[in-house]
Amino acid sequence: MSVELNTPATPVLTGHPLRGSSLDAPVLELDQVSINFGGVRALDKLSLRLNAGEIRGLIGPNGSGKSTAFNVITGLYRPSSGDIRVAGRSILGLRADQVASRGVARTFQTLRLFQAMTVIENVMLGTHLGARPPSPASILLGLPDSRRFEAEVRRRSMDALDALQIADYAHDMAGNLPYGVQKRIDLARSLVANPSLLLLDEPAAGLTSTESHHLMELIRALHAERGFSLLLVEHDMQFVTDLCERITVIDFGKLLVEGSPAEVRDNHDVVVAYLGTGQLSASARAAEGATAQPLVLEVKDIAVRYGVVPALGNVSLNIAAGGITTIIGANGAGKTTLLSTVSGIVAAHQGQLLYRGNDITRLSCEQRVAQGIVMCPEGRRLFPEMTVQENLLLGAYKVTDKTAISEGLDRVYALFPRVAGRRKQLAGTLSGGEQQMVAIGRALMAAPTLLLLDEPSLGLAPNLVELIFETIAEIRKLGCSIMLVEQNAAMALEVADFGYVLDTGKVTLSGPASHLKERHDVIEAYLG
Amino acid sequence: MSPFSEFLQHMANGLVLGFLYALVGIGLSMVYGILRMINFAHGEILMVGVFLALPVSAMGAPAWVVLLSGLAGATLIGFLVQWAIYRPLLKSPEVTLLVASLGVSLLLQNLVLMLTSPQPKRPDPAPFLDQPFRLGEIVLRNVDLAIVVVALAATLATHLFLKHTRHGRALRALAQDMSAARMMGVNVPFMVMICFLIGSALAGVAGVLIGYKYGHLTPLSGFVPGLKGFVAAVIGGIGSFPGAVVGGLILGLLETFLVGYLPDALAQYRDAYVFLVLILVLLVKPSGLFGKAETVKV
Repeated sequence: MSVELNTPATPVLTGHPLRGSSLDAPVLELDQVSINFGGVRALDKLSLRLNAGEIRGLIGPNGSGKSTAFNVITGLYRPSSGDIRVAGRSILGLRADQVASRGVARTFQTLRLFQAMTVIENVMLGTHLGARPPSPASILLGLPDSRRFEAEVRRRSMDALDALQIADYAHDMAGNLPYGVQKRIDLARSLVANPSLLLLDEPAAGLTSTESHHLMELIRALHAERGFSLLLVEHDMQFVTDLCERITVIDFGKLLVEGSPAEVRDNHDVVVAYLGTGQLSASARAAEGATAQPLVLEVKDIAVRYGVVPALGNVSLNIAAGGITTIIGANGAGKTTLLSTVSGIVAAHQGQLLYRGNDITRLSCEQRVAQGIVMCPEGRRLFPEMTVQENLLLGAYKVTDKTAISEGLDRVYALFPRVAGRRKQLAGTLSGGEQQMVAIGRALMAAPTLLLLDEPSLGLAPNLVELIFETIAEIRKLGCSIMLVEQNAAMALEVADFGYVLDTGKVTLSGPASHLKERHDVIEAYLG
Repeated sequence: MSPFSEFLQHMANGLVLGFLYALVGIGLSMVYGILRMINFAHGEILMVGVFLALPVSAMGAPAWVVLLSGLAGATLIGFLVQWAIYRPLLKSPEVTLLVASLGVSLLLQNLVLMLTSPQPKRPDPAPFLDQPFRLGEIVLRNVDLAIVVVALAATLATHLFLKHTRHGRALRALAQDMSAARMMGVNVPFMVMICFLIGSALAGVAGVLIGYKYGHLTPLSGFVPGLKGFVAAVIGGIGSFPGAVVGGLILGLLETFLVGYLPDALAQYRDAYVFLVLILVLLVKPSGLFGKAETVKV
């Protein structure tokens, strides 16, 4: 018996109700959307309008709310207030799968493939989001409609693999493939449901520049062929400016600027959001003309990988004793990985670390702490259910001398009088700025000779940012060498003696901080 | 006996039982707090502890020496299990540890069954512990009083350790943010071992006390106390030290009152009620009294 493929009885595998519905309504509208996470306002009355067929970039510094925006749009989080409409219809209160059935598909920042399934199986799963499958009974009995459905799903999945030029891998195990291919599988999976709105969360992250250029060409071709609308979060500014017609910049969960790539790049607010302002009191500024110092740390040819994802590629740099060395660069450049490798949290894949002339590459994290290499991590990472004082005492975990501990406490409380009055308060109840002070204080309690500061000003109000930087200058006077990773590059270069610019896991520029400040290519490393 | 003194009697019995559950629950809860792992072998560590203390009792040692040998025996077996089996698995997913602990549970049960016999045993009677102890109209035995005193002392000692010592702070820090604790120089495998040893020691103490109170010990005797300790930890909020203590007391009281006031035909299903409570807690407040809801970051 021959079956016509277009009989009405065939399970629905056509496009979404949205396509062909009212053409005037924008594909996506965010209307004054806010969401709070325990006192932190992750999105603050964010509004955004995406027209049919548009390619829009969504950018902003670390922690500005980009991924949160994606999670709100796809129904993973429910906004505290505001409305979200897809093709003119509100999606508030819908589950993620219901939002998906309105024609919204996404990829994830960190890959979420099923490692132990083949590529084609991974991609075929994507159709669950878009189509009504035949009844279970029909599948069990192998009725014609279920077989037809299966064949159709398989055909469409192969099409998607073809379009992304990875059809050759269809029957390989997803987990065994190179990272660049895995990223494309993820993209294929989101395409197979035939979405009208595609959300891409950092599609180029971890790709080499050739790979990311190739991916961009593929996305462009797919867009021309299928006409979906695209919202894209990406830190590779080259990628965003080349691909997008318009860019929306957010910071602190709020809309900062919206415009063409050129308008955005020339906008002063955007430059400030990414680079900071860089005004410090004269005393905090780096000592000019500091002479050549002995080295406290030599990083030699260090490479780091997370699974198959390269994070650092053959980085070499020197940290002078008694000075502040800053590592700057866009998000995802490998700054935190570099600090984590020095602290021993992350193991180097190759290369060598020399600390005061001794090889520490194989030492554990705690052995390095005992030798005075102390990390103050990004996001503070205090122990929220312990008091301020208990947090500080934990910083001194490796210090056994009682007088040294009590002197350390005195020093920290003198440095941060604001937290001195709160020593019995639970750290989790402090404000962000106070938490940062405790985090720095906790690191100082270990009596560091090399202090690793990861994004100390992240998420803080401007006046607190200044305070933190002035403190960093104070700490240097205690005779401690500092390795500073900062998003606020202008401020970091103001306070530092020497700087390295990191870009996709490699050092692209280095020099005395005062010289780097003048360099136009520093800005380019951030804004493309 | 007046209804009121009957109530008081149930209350006293419930508290005694509750302290036993608390002793078992603390170890389970602390290990879960750090490793997110439910140690199903916890009850068997308790059982092995008592079985190692039985020969000491047979030699005519006083009860407090037997108690200390139970503590030492359980600590030793806890050390061996952690060192040989859990420690190499620390970097594996939590479910691997969970399955490993089920395996350890069966292994210990059968090992003891093989080396001894399924015949019930009991510590040599300690006449002093069996003497009645009266408080108004409430009648207990000295062993019940000993349970309360020992459990209070052990709990207090653990509390002071956690609150005021360098390693105690490190243990609490580990439960809150393991990688931040590493950055402070905390040796994670070492602290995990400490945590296991504390839990095992408390279980060993509970085991010997159970032996003196009920006097019926088989290689399967660790199973039910282990499960009830787990229920106690869940009621209080698994991962929380005060939660395990309060959860144990609540469970002991609840069980005693249900058995005391339900008609005889229903009263014999005491273990079933405990698990009914577990299911109710998991349905209504899965994070327990002192626990915090865990959120999964997307």
